[in-house]
Amino acid sequence: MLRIAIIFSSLISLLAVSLSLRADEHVPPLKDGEGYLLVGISMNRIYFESIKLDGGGSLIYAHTFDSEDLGDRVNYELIKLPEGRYFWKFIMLANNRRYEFGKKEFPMTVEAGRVNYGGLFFGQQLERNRSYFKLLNRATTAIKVAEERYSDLLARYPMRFGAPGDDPFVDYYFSLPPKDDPDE
Amino acid sequence: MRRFLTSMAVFALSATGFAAETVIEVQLAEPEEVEAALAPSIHGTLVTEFFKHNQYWTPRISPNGQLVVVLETIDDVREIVLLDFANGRKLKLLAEKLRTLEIRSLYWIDNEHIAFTYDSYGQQRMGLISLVFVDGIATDLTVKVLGNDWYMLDPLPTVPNRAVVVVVRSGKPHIFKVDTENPKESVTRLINSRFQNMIHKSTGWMTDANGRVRAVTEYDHDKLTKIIWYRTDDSNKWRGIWKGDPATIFVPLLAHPDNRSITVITNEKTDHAILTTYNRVSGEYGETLFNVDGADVESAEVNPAKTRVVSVTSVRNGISEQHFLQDPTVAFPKLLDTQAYGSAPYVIDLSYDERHAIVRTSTNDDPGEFFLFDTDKNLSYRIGHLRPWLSRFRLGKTRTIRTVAQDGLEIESYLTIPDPVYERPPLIVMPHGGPISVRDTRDFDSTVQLFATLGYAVLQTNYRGSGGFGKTFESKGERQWGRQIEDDIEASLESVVDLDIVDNTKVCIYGASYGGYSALISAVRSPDLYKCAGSFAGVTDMSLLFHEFGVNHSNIIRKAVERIVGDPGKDMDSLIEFSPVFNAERISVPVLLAHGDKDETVDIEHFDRMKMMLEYYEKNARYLVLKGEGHGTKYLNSDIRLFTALDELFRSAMDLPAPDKESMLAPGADWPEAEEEVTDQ
Repeated sequence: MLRIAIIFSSLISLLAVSLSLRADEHVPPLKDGEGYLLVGISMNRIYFESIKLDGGGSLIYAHTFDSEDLGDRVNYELIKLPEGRYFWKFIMLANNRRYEFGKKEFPMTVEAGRVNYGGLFFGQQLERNRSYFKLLNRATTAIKVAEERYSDLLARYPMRFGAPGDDPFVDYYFSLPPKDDPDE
Repeated sequence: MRRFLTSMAVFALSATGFAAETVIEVQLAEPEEVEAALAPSIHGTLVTEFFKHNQYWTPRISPNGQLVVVLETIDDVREIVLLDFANGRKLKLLAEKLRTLEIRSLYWIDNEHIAFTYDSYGQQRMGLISLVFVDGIATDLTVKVLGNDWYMLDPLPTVPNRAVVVVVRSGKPHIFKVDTENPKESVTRLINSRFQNMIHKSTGWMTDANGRVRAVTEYDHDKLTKIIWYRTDDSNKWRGIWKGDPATIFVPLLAHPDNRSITVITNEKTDHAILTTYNRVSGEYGETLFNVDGADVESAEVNPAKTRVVSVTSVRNGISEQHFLQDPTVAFPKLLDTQAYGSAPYVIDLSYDERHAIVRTSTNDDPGEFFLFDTDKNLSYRIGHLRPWLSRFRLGKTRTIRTVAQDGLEIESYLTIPDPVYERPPLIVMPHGGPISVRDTRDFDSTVQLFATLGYAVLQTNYRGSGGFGKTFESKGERQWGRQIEDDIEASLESVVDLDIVDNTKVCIYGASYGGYSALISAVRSPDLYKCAGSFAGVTDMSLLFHEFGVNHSNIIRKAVERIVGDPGKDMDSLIEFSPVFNAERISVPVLLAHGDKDETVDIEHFDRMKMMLEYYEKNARYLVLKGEGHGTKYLNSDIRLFTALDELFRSAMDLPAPDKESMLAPGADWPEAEEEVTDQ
């Protein structure tokens, strides 16, 4: 059963159509019905192979983050996705075990034509076979990351809060007039 | 001398004074990041004196009343010490270097065994000291580890070698009665497996004299209720005997022999919490055993035999009072209630026959002493002073201030005035955290006395919503963030100004948690009252409270936060209106913003947002992130950094001279020698 799960997971990785975008890469423009998802990932003392984001069944809405593409500490990743609801589906550990998450545990929404902040997915190992996971709201850091890496993108696609709950701060911050550049 | 130990695989527990030396294997854990030691300074030395460990702590008397075990801290070493007053012996049982293991609690299992809980790099463990007696005198000992993630529920002091413990496995509590001589082989599960799932969600287990769990408090997070489950002494069948609002106080204390009644603290039928009996069969309350006029009964102490409640505690006029229900123990405080000691006594532990007691004294300007009282011989023995070194400083005196708020509500506050050497001192307004159910008292407070020693008067207001004044008073504080709560604080400040004993042109506000929020929102709404504002672990965005993990995974917690703060689905506009983050532009006084980077109660995102907005508006602000700290401080270096920054803020904003050592010292006292900072190799 476990072997089947691993093979299935690998298939998903191969079939995933979303792209993880770095600042120094070309950011493909959005098509109709697509939005960007900016997520943070931080796994503390958890040795993992991959983490899967799912859109609820269809393979083309999935995205798998491989550990080798992520740094040791807090990672912020931007991916292009069809609009809709997404959730963290599972984390595959280095020892071939995996934690499964329910659809309602760590959900997020992607709106078309927006940079959607989906929260910081945080995991911590407590004991050898016990870890806990939670979705943190670190919108301030996400805003800074977005402004530093994707300032051109933000000019075209407004940022919004896409993690669970209402958070007026992101809209409020971007409603403020830009500060004068002292170098100008 | 303070040592900073960053890693240690095996730690030797030295049995000083005995021939034996025992080694406890300590599981290697990654140590917390420890910041570099700060160079000695006036602030560093002063804060160290106020916040270092007590010299004596948590004394416990043996069931037969013959021995006392106590934690004693000297320099960087904490020892478990055995005091044998009858034979004039003081024996060091076990020593540990601070920052390596943190011994927290001591329990007599019987007259020959002492359990101790300790924290090793974040993991709670329990150990056992076995005393060996020759001719009635302890002459040797052995030490062993009982288990990891063990918590003491009931040491069963009258049953040899037995204790009831809570063992946390995979994050869930399990309750066992253990044979401390053979903890792995002899274990009795006290709650059957079927009921265990309910126990996982419960807190507040009540045991009887035999160590049998008789009552359990469960929170049903789906139905938003609190349920008390109970079983009789002759049955394994659990019955729900009380169900109600989770906010209602209902604390089972004692099972009666008739198997029908229990003694509880509750406020279900009264505005203030009282001590009363509850008939579990009829669901009706019996006679009121104790109530305090105008104050909640906050806690109660049950005798070691678990046959009766010995005393209850309440806070009146800011002072913690212990009220005794029957005569025998009245003898103890009467012994102490003399001018020789000059402060209110408090019985903290009793021998099984209640003829020997450990008593603590304390006042607002004295952390106090521990005494052993022997009513058989009518003798008292001094165990030790909590912090004898503080007598070298000019500590302040605290008085009660009563203010009538605009709506007629009486508000109780405490004003600490520094030594008269400081004429018309500047004032620090210091709102407490919470805001609901938490309160300030006039008992000794290290932060208040540190500020007083530095020359500041300190005002602590028990604004509406504070605990201890009844549930009507508490409910008046709900959804009053930035509104009537701060009105109360400003009304009490006006009362102090009217006294004309402080310099009302020099007032700053500082607080932690809700107090940090209050400081920031006060700077927004009343810039003319305050010269500066300091916030530690403060809430800055009320809507962000609904993003905390616990709030999103417990309906009870979410409903409680909605009741206290407001419902983001309906009240988002007011959450924004009264959040400092969205009002940063209106702040015109200097600000200190401090936060622990591991705070899981008020996430550091609150700090990040406020910092972002203060920087956006180019406000005069200083920022302090305390590494490794949660919703409070545990590292002395953090206290030094925080209070140094606060004093610098106060002095700069209120145009005060630098702190002067001589003004801080009591007549004839010397400034303490700066502690040598040593980094362990």
